Amino acid sequence: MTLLLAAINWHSVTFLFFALVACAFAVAVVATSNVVRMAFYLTLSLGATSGLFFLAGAPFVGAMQLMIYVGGTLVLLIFGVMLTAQARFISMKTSGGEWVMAAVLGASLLGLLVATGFSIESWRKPRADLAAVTLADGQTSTPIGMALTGVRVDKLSEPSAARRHGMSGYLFPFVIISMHLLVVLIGAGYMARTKRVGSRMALERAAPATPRIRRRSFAVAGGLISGIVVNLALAIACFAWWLRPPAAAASGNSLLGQIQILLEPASGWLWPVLGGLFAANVLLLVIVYLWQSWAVIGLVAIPLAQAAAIANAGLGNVPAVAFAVLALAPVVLLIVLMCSGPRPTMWEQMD
Amino acid sequence: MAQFFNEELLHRLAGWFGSSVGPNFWLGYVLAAAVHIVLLIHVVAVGALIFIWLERKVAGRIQDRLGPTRVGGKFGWLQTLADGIKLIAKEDITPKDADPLLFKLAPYVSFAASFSAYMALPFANGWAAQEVNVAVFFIVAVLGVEIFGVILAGYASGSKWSLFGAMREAAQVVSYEVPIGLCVVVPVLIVGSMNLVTIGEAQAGLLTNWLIFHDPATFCIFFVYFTCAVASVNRAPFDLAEAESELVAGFHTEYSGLRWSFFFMAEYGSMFLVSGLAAILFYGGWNGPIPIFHWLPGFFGLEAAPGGGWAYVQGETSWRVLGYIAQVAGVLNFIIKSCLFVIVMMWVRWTLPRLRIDQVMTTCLKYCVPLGAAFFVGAMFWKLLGIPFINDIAPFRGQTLADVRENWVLVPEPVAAAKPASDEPQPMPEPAHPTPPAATTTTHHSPRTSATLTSQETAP
Repeated sequence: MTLLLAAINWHSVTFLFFALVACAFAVAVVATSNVVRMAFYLTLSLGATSGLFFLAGAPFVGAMQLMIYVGGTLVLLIFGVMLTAQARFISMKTSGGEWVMAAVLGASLLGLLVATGFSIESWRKPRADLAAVTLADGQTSTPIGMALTGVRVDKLSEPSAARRHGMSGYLFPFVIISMHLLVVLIGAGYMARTKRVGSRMALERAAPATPRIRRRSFAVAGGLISGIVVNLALAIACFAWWLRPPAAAASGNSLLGQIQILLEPASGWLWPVLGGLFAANVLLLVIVYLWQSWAVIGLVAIPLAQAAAIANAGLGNVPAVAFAVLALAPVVLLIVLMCSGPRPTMWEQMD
Repeated sequence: MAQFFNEELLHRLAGWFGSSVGPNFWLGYVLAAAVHIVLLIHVVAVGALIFIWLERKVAGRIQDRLGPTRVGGKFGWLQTLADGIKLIAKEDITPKDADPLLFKLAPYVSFAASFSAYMALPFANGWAAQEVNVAVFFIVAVLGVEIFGVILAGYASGSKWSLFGAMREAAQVVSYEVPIGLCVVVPVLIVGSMNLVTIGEAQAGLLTNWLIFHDPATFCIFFVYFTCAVASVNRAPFDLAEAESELVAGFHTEYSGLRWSFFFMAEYGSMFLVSGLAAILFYGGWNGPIPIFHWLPGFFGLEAAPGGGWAYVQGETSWRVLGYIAQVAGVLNFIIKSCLFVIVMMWVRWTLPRLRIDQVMTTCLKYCVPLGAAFFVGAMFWKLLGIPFINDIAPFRGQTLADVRENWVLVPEPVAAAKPASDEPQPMPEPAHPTPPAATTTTHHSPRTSATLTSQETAP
């Protein structure tokens, strides 16, 4: 008995326990029909997943899993269910067709994952140097934090410079995601605000007998027109740069030469792409000028796409972030201008 | 501790039967885990027993009465025990509209969350059930799970009072997680580690070394933290979830007996937990105001040991009486500090009237979050500019703050030293200077620099 117990790898036993709990409650989420119970089972499943992370010696990721999924998302989920669910939504009836669809989708996804997992050679059998492996306990949070601020400390000793390139961390995606969350937050605040004008607007919209007299303020019109001019100039400049004679040698003396040296590392494809995006910006600005509010989304998206292009073309993350900030500032100013001013503001009048 | 059990206890026991036990034998781990669990359950359960009695006495004194006086002798010592017997004897009722499974499970979810946060809480230098590298973050994350039980209870009771209470609680606790995170980050920023043991040990020495005296911003942010902590454990004046005047009893309206008492154990458990966190983050944790044990001479032939034998060394498994005494004194220090904060929470509860729900939200979003952010920036600049404050009056330390930083801070130095030798763009990628393109560095990259870096990284 003692020998048997000593022969068991207790780490594996604990792993199997957590994995079984995670899987069993994941199945229970699908099997039950009560929405709140589903959320409860999902909590247990996700909690067991965080247990797996703790077991793997990654307490930071485990705690993150607890905080984001168990603590944050699920509480919001339950909160939403409690606020919205009437008796008919609480218990969800699933029809046979949905079951079949779900089964096909789930099975194909599972098949894909299993096939991918087994296609990796080193995952198929236990590694030979298992005894020599030490858990990276205690050192997991620092590399993550440093990578988010722009330094991959785990890649410092990478011998190949080609692979080290681009390992400068996740600052740029981090900024993009923060921007995204900010947009969502502002959007939520906008949706949830007290709607005083809304009802009147709805009445007006219901009876569009007379064509509306739409007036745009001088500041907005000026902003739009100057935006069109600047974007057009930038588009032309980009295309001109792309088509410039290749013989022009770089010299650091003139201003143009310095710019040339600065922009030299960028890949060739960057300039037509940037030019095209600037041209698209011109188009969008014209559309905004013609009272279409959806073009504003494009106005926000295009600078981000341009920044992504700059980051990927070899100019580095810092110019990309600087560009995004510089290009988004006038857009934000424009939106603020459109939403402010005497009522009805320009934003409210748009389609 | 597991290795201690294996080597000191099981190995000797096995020796009688003619076999031997290695230092990683499983039974030692099971025994160590059992000891930890039993000790922690006693912290929560006995703590609740004492705090409920204390709450009655404090409430009585504040309201100019005596509180319990008769049960169990002079001061009503056994009042909570009598309460407990009453609760066990009560009938266990499940309402008709309730969701029976969730209704029965909810108190245990709440209690388990509060209890498992204790896993990462150190009671003295190295005396934690599981020393987690990111203990601060872990505790804040697990505390956020505690409301899950309350929400489930509110929903599963099938009663509108419970549902209202649970919804208020969810809104309140989710909001207050933001300022709590902002406040907790400041000591982490100053010390440079999320490990609670490291943060506690960084404050060893005279009481001027406590982090609350690090700079004015940290001093102020402690009060923001304490306000938010009171709110996040759902105590008056923030106990909207169980507002008797409006919601009968809030989320536990339908509960009775032992299940009801589990909610209270969870509440008192998390009260002690946030108090302990405050003690470690701002008030030196297990380090007393005066470092007595540092000044005591060592004896029993232990003069050569670190701290004259009156100190615990991280990771030691051997038995040392003086170090043990110092550790127990540290635990006492810690518990006294935490209990003081719990008493302040009671004092606040019986002094201030309950806020309205909009006032609770206003306190969080309009006061605590901006104040926390401003003090955070203040503490950052104070640390950056290195302006002296009370911390620097008597700089007695067992360990300087810089030692605590993990080794990546030390990495850039060899790069600077190696710079004249290679005279090339360094491979150390910094946020402001992205690495040059691959084509230019491949040929110039000196293997010496990377070798220096590697050795520095692997060095402890």
